[in-house]
Amino acid sequence: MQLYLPIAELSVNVLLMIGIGAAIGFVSGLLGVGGGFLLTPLLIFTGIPTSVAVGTGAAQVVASSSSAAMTYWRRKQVDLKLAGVLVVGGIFGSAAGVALFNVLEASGHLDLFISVAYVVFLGIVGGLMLLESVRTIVRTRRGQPTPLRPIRDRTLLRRLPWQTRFRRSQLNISIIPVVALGFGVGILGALLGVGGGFIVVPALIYLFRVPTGMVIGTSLAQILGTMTATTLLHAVTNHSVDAILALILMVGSVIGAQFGARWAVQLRGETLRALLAVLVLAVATRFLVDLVTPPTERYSIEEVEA
Amino acid sequence: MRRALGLSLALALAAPAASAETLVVALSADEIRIASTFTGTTITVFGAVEDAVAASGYDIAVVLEGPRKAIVVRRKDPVVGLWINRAETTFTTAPEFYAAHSTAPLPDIAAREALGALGLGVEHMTLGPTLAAGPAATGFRQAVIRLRGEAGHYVEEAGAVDWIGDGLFRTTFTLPADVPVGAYTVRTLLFRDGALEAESTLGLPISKTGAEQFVFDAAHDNAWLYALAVILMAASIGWLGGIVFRRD
Repeated sequence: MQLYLPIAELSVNVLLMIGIGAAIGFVSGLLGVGGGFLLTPLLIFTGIPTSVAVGTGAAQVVASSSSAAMTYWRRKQVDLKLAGVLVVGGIFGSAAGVALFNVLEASGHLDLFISVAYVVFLGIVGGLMLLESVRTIVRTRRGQPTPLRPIRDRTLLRRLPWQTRFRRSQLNISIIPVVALGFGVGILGALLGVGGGFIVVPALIYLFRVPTGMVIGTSLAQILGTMTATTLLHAVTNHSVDAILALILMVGSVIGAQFGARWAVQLRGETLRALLAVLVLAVATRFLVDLVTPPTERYSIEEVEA
Repeated sequence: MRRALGLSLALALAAPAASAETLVVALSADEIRIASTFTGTTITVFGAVEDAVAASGYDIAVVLEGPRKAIVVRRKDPVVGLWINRAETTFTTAPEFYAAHSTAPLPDIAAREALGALGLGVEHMTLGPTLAAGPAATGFRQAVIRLRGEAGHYVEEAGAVDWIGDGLFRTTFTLPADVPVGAYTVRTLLFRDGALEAESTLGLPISKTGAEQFVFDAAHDNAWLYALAVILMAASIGWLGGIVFRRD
């Protein structure tokens, strides 16, 4: 069943797109991630133009994160003040990211930059996650207790000005690194169409020592805020958000998420993290392979404003 | 999508001086509208040679041409192991779609120079000026023709125009699912013994219809409203999903 997409300006198979949406929803329900890091590449691999894939991916992340954020909000597991400070940084980062995106697109290096960014970020995050989860799995098998997290030197974080109290998370930290984290993730979100939960969650846990119960909910709230701004900016400056494609993907992902969540209950945390790590590394590898193998077609055409 | 032939019988009576023949050309539809279920279509061009001065020796070429847009063509080269866009050139007026149908192979219909002057055939059509020169420019031009040829957007078919008797001819163009939208022209050329005797040009708008056009226009003309609508849609679908499948 073919459907014509008005912004992407091509016909796609509706069932394939619902399937992609469902697969993303399944993964996000199973692993507790937004799934943007999988969605944007999948759309690009199926022939959707890169800018449409990124803009529409951002819209899809808004849907999936709002659904999950609501659940955490009901459980009172969102530090709204912390999320708010992150979003402030995120909105500026998003604006910078969309501006950089447009410069790269005009210069013809957008696809290269996106590929390299995916390889670097997904490679690092996936590798670290795989190491950590495999170590935990091995230790559990041997019956050894998991060692406590190493205490990092946080004197620099303590010394920075504008120390602020985040009551919900029972934290006293400077808002500078919080805004900086939000800014960096905002740039990534705008460039890659990802929510950035795979960076925010570890940062909140290991860097800021946010209580585990608050981490996911707060990260989701930050993703929701930042990706709303990103969708808005891509739609207004690039006109690259395809509402029809977004709708199909959202419907698929809402359904897929339910199955993923059911599966998640039956799997251990470290097994889930290992699965996510393998998935992340697979996407990074695919981008790397495309970068280093001689392309079958060296030429590409792009229409430009005369 | 297609209207009756009679409705769109547009006459085009343009003939170079000193020749007696005239061309009458009509299309099987006077516009093409792309709806959500669009998977490609065909358009048939009918025509007649009137006031023929000779019994035989006529050839017909019909060119369906899409709107012309500037394009940047880029070539990947290996840089320290990575394949990166290194060289690029711009063609200012490349047609988004170009299909040339004819009764015989174009080189048999007219001389090379004549085809070049008329911009007739994929090899001879103009893509507009480019900054690159020499062999590099040729490589980029060939790449455009190859890429758009593979997509079914640049087509040349000899023998695709049929004589159906008594000076009447017909040809059918196939438009793929991703045919670019815009103002198309159907250019019909009548040759006799290698010389252009008559020419006719008809317009053929190809546009998105209904919902597709509405979404496209909204995204471009009311970008802020469109963005807010998409975000509202995303949030409410997420919210609904959370309500329907609530687990706690």
